[in-house]
Amino acid sequence: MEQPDTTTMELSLEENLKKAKYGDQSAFAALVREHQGMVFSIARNFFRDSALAEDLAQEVFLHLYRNLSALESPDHLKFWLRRVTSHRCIDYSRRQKMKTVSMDEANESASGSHLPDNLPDTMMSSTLRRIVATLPDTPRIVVTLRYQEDLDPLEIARILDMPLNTVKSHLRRSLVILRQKVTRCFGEVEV
Amino acid sequence: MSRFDDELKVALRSEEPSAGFTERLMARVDDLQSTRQQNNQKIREKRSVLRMILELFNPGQVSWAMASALAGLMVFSAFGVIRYRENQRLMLEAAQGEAAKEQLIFAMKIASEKLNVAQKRVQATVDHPSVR
Repeated sequence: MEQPDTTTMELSLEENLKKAKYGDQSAFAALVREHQGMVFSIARNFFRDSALAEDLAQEVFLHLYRNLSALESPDHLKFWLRRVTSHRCIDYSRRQKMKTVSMDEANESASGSHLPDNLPDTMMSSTLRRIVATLPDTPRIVVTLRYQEDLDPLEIARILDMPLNTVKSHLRRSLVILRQKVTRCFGEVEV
Repeated sequence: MSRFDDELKVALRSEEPSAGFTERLMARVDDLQSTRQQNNQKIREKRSVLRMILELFNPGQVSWAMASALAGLMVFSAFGVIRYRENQRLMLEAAQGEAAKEQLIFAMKIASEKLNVAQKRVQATVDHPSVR
């Protein structure tokens, strides 16, 4: 199947945004379909709970529906969604004092089982997700935005209203922690 | 980019939510829309009452209202001035009457004293005729 090129997609996004602003619900649904993966995944990677991530994503899109008039372009829309989702994740986590898996618990669960030498990708991925979930709120969202959305530290700083150096330091420290934990879990794997 | 970065990208890759996510959301949007319409209806009703009151102050209505108020004020003022003058006149007349009364009493007192003197002299003449 032929994929639409980026320019055509941008145009249709712009068109849909314009129509959605004027109350066209099918255009709004198209905007949702286009971005639901991103919003849902940020929340899921943050909480490691798909149901909670879906609820939060729904709230983010309802908030978007109420604030459509403030959005100027598809890029602005994407920035706005990333920003609102990230802040909501952190706020929700702080409010609920979510019971996250502790560092020790993560180590235990990862090292407790006997792991084969050649780990399948899914095993590595799920362990990495579990270890990422042990990070504190802010480093966790920074890592999520960096690796899920492939954003550079400057963009992350803008989204999270944070100094660039703070973002870089969060990233650096998080990577050190993650490497240590992965090494502890799997031994000296090629990391 | 190291292999570890690649592993992280794979682990945290974007995924779609469960099927029907958009439909569920759009149902909530419909609810939101109808609630918003109901609220707007209520606001419109409140505004229509307010508008009725405010219409009294519309430029067209204002000129009539102002003219009526001005005419009423002028009639009221004229009536007040007439009443005030009437009141002043009555007070002046009362004061003049009072002064006249005082003068009359004073004059009668003088006349009474004169009469007393005259009476005493007449009495003295009658009692002692040689004195004349």
